[in-house]
Amino acid sequence: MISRRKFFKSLALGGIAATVLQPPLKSVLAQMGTDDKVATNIKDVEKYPRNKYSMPGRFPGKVVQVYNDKCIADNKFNGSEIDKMVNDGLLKLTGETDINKAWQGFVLPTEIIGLKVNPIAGVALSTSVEIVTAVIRQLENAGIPRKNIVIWDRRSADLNDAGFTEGKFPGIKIAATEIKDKAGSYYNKEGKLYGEEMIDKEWYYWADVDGKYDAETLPYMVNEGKFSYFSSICTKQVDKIINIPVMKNAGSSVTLCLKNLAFGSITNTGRLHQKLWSETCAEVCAFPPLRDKVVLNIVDGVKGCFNGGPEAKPEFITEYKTVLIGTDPVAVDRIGYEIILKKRIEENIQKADTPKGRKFLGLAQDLKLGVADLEKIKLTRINQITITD
Amino acid sequence: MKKLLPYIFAALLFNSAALLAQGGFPELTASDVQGMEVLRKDYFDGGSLWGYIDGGADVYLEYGFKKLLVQEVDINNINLKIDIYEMNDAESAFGIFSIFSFKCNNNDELPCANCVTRYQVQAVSGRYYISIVNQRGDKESGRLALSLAQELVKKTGEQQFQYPSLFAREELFKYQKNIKFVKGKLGVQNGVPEWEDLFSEVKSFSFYVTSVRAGKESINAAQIKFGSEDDLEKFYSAIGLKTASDNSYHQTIKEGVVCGLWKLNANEVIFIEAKAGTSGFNRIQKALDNYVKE
Repeated sequence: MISRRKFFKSLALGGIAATVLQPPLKSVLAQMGTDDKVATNIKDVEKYPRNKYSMPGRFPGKVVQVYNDKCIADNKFNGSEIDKMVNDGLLKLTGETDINKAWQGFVLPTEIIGLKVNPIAGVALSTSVEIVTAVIRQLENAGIPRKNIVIWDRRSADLNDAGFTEGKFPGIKIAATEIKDKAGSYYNKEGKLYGEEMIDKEWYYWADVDGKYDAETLPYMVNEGKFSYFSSICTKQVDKIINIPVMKNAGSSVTLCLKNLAFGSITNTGRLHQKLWSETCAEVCAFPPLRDKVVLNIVDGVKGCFNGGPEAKPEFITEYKTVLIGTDPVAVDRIGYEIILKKRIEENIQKADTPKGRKFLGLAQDLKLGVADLEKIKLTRINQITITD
Repeated sequence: MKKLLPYIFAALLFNSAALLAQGGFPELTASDVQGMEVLRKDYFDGGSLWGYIDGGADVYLEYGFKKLLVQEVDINNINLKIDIYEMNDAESAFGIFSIFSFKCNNNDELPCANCVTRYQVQAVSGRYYISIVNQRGDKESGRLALSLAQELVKKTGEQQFQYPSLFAREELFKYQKNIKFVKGKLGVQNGVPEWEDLFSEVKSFSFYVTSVRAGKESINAAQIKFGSEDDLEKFYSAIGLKTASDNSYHQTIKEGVVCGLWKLNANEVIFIEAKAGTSGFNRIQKALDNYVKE
């Protein structure tokens, strides 16, 4: 057996002077994007007037950061501490002293409330069952019946893998756009994708980038072409949305409130990652089904990652022991960005800030979805620290 | 469990030769390991990787992804998740491994580049990148994950790739565990994020890079290959230099960062970068200069 060092040495001694970068570059050439401006239908949003809930919502530029040293230990979440984090954070955000009143400022008992989670990385790095349980408990106390609560994301299989099952959440609807049936198929008896029945073609994000997929990929994209349709879950099924993403990086950027909403609410996203990642994160959220319905953002940073995201790479998972709360998704994302950046620099993943990583925040601010400038954000910190004798 | 391990190894050894002979995709089967139950087995081809890791798929696709086998197994109540990525070539597999390896322990029992941490074993064997995650993080689970990784590496039957001779230079050799193979813009984002702007106008490129520790600072040295001469020129421009006509050394200092370049040919350079004033920079620069001129 040889070590990696010995292995490299053996290669080096093996007469490799002439071996320089074998050329798989051709395939890269075909995939690489450019920074040329790509046309989208973002101007369409101007046709729709804003309402009082429209982003950035009731508290523009305001973020509450709650740290709790007991919320996780030995990789086990402490539900009651997490509940306390959400409770105290929401009171601080709203200035209320009664938690029920705080919730009632955002949602009504007659409304259908969608909890937009991020379950793509299994139990290891998805929105935790514990934080969603806390939100549901508090909503119920505030008068929202369980039958009016929907936990949703793109894929039924992901929701299931991350623990969002009817067994764990009796009486709560679990909804997905891309549905996999019990037989493991994404197609119904007529050979039509279940996902096609879940999209609303009245609402779409058009971008001049063509999506083409093979048969194995199509169930995860629902449709090809230049249109990305909104899920009917957000356009029709729910009246209000509470966004509950996970504290994760995406390269030198982050995948928090805006990314969770944008890429989680539309179809045909594969085409958007390469050329339009930042634009999609910002612009999709400017369309009324999201802009006018998302009333609150709660970032689950009890456990998160600082590299390797959005995948769950164990060596990059960390316990931030933090929850961020705000109505302004741009401001919340900016604070989350700073937390993750600090950790990345501490861990020597990167040396300094890279402005490209927060390009989407600037775009979102330009679209008046919130505040991206750090100096204009009002951050309040709550430290729930246990003091022992 | 300790008692069980020798049997597992024996079973693994026995079965590996047969599976290799079949030339199939490397995988673990219930007959490989006593008491192992395969809870999940899913293949993902091409873009269907988005169905598994959504946006996380992009970096694999950019590097050149062919196929993934996801297996979840249970061995005496120890749950392990195994991802076996088949990439287009060994460089791509090493590239993915290199950007996702962090604070590693190397294990000599694996005959290839590997990264062993409490919860994960990563290894790269030829064009296969292997990740085995255990949920418990204890020694027993770690040992089991390692034994499974050993078997999978054997099953790949792959020759290991070779890297540029530059990195065998004495001055860089001891930093070989830091070597990354970076390909495409997402590769830069994940591998050397501070270089993102340098490549923003460059369409096609790949490079090997290593980081030399110099006190509290580091010196990055890379061998970069561009898809075209035009791309090389754009890189020179991003550094703030005119494209060189020969292989002599040129450098700039911008915002406290020194960037130096040697042009090897029409689409290839050696690049050095560090914070201005970093101790040891001149030594590495001289070593690279000698390499270029040899």
